[in-house]
Amino acid sequence: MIALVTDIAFILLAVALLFCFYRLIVGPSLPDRVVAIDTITTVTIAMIAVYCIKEGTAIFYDAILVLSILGFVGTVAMAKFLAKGDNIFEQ
Amino acid sequence: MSTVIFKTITRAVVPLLMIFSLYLLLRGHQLPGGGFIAGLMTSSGILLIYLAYGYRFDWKHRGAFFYYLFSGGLALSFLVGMAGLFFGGTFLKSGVSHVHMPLINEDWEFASAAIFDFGVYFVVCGVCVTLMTLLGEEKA
Repeated sequence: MIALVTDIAFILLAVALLFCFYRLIVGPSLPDRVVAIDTITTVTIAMIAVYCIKEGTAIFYDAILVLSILGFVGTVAMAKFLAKGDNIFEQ
Repeated sequence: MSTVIFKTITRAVVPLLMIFSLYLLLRGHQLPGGGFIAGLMTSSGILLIYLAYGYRFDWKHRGAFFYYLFSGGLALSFLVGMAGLFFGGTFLKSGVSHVHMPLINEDWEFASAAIFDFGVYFVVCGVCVTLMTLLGEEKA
């Protein structure tokens, strides 16, 4: 049962990833692409979590934590770049 | 520019981030983790502080610290590798010793590869912070 559920979840997450890649390539403006990259990070985190459930291991949870922190910092930096422009470290 | 929400989240998240990076660094010998990912975590925490509270790059004060952290970490890793060449026979050969810790009554395993990992940690931390602060201040 759990194997079937995780397989269906993998398929749905892969479809979500395809939509994100479509927005990343076609996306008319830069904020669209930034949001697409952030969503790709989130979908990757979900895929790692589903894989952990499927394999019954807890060793990849640190990878989830690392990916979420890096995605957060990257998105904040890109948001400040889009709002501010030349200097993102300006107060 | 930075909102109150972002500053408050930074103040709450950065100590947890530093503890998590230390945890990754110290357990990286036998489990997933290690110097590279720990340095990445530490530098992202430092960059979070800079993004929230502002930063101006200068070679005199903080910029020079991370620049020399990079060089010092590289030298530390190289010297640990050369120590393997002097004592054990080959470059980067690791020495292991088991130490009985007095209070918790356990045998801890100390390896010289951990010191190499500390060097990698310093290199990654210095390179990431220097690179990101220089890139962030680039005039468009």
